Amino acid sequence: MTLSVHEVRAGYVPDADILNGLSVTVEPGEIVTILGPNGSGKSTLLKTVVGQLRPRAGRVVADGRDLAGIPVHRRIRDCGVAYVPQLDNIFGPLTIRENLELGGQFVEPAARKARLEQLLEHYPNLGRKAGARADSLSGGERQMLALARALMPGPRHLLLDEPSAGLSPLMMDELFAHIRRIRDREGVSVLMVEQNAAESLEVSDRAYVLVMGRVHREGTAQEILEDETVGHLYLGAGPVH
Amino acid sequence: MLEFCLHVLIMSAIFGIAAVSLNLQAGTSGLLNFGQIALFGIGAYAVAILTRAGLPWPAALLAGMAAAALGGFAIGRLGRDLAAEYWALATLAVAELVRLVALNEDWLTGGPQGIGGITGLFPGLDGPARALATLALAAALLLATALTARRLGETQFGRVLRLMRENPDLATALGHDIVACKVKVLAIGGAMAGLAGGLYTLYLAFIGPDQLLPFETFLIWTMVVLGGLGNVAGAVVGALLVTTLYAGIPFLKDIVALPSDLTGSLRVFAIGSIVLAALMLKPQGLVPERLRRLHAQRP
Repeated sequence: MTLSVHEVRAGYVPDADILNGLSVTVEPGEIVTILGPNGSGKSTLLKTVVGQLRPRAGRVVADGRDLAGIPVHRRIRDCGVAYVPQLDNIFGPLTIRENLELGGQFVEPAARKARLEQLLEHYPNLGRKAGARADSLSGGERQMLALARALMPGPRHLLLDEPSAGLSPLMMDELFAHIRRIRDREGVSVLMVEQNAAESLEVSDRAYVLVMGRVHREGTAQEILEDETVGHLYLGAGPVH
Repeated sequence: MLEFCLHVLIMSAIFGIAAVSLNLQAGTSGLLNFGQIALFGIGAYAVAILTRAGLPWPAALLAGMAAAALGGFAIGRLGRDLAAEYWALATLAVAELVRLVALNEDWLTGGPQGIGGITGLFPGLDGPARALATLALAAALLLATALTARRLGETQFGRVLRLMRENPDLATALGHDIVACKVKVLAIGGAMAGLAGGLYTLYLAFIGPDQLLPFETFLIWTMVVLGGLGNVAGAVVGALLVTTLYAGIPFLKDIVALPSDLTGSLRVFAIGSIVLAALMLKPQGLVPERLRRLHAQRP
C-alpha cells in the first residue's frame, strides 16, 4: 500500500530534466505534502506518478507494482491511483450526481450506486444539490466535488494538485480539514502539491521541499514548519508558524 | 425543375450523412478532422471498384463503409500521440495522400479520369421515378445515420466523447482511454462518411479525384458550422442549406448578367462568406447544441 518514486528523472523536452533523480515515499494512510518554489517540479512529480509524463529514468511503484509502461487510464482503473488536477477538474454541464457517476464508471453498477449514495451522505452540501449543474457550485464546493469524484472508485492513493488554489482562507481551512477526514475515513494515502505551505502542513504527516527537481529537505510536517531556512527561502517571506 | 429539386434533396441527404459523420467527430468529440473527404473518398472508390467488379450495390456499400471505417481507425491510430492541432494538420495531409493515390494509381482508380460507367441505383427505373427512389433510399439512410449518431451521443460513450472534447486531461484522470475513444469514434465516423461516399458514387455513377479536393472537406465543415457544431439536427439542416445554395448559385447568371466562368468562383466565395458570417454572427450555429440532455436543475 506504499506509493514510492525512486530516483526519477523526467521533463517535457529532451535533455531538460525537471525532476533530477527525485525520490519520494508515501506510506499507507499518510498525508504527504510537496512544497517548493515555482518550477521546482511539484506538479511534474504528480504528472509522472499518474503517468501523463514518462520518466527518463527511475521507477514509480504503487503497492509493490512497478507502474512503468502502464498508461494513465489503467493506473486510475487498476492501480488504485486517483488524480485531481488543479483546474477544470469537474464537468460543468453535468449534474453533481452525474459527475460522481463518471468517477465511478469503472465500478460495478450496484457498488457504484451504493458508493455514490455513501459519498452524497458524506458530503451533505453536495447531496442537497445532487441534481444541480456542477458549474453552479462555488469554488470550494467544486473542489469538494472533484475530491468526491476521485474517491468514487475507492482509490488507495490520492494525488492532489494544489487543491486550495483560488479558495478563500475560510474555504481553504475547511478543505484541508476535509482532506484529513478523507484520509481517516477512507484510509487512503494522500500526495498533495501545495503553495499554501502553513495550512497544508497543519494537516500533513510529512513533507518534502523540492528545489530544482531535487529533494532539498524532508521531514515530518512539524519539522518543516519549524525550519526557519525552509520558511525563509521557499515557503514565503518569513518563517512559517 | 422537379428533377433539379430532387437532385438537390438527394445531394443534401448524401452530404447530410457526411455532415452527421463530421459532427460526431468534431462536434461531439472535438476531433478537428480536416480530412473528412478522405473517408468519403475511400467509401466512394471502394463502391466504384467493387460494383464494377460485379458486386451488388448493397454489398459494395457495406464494403465501402468497412473500408472507410478502417481508414478512420488508421487515422486515429497514426496520430494517437499528436497534439490536437498537429493531428488536425495531419488529417489534411492524409486527405491529400488519398487524393494523390486516386489521381495516380490508374490501374485501380482510373487515374485523372476516375471511374465511370458504374451501374447506379435502381437501374430498372427511369427519370423522376428513379430519382424519387434514390431520394427515399438516401433519406432513409440519412435518418438511420442521424438516429445512430444521436443515440450514440446519449450513451455513456457519447458522454465520454463530450468529456474528451471539453477536457481530455480530466477524461484521462477519470480512467478513460481517450486514444481508444478517438480511434473508435473515427472508425464509426469513417463508416458513416464511407456510406455517404458510396451513395454519391452510386447516384452519380461516377467518382474521380476532383471530388476529393480539400475544398470538399471545407464544404462539409461549412454545413456543420452553419447548422451547429455538436447537434445532429444542425448538421442535417446545414447540409440542406449549403447544398441548396451551392446548387442554386449557377442560376444567378440567369437573373443577374454574370459570366458563366464566374459561377465556380462565386460558389467558393459564398461558402467562405457563410463560414465567416456563421462564426461572427451565430457561432453556435442555427441549431445550437444542447449541452444538457439529461434533466438537471439549478439549485
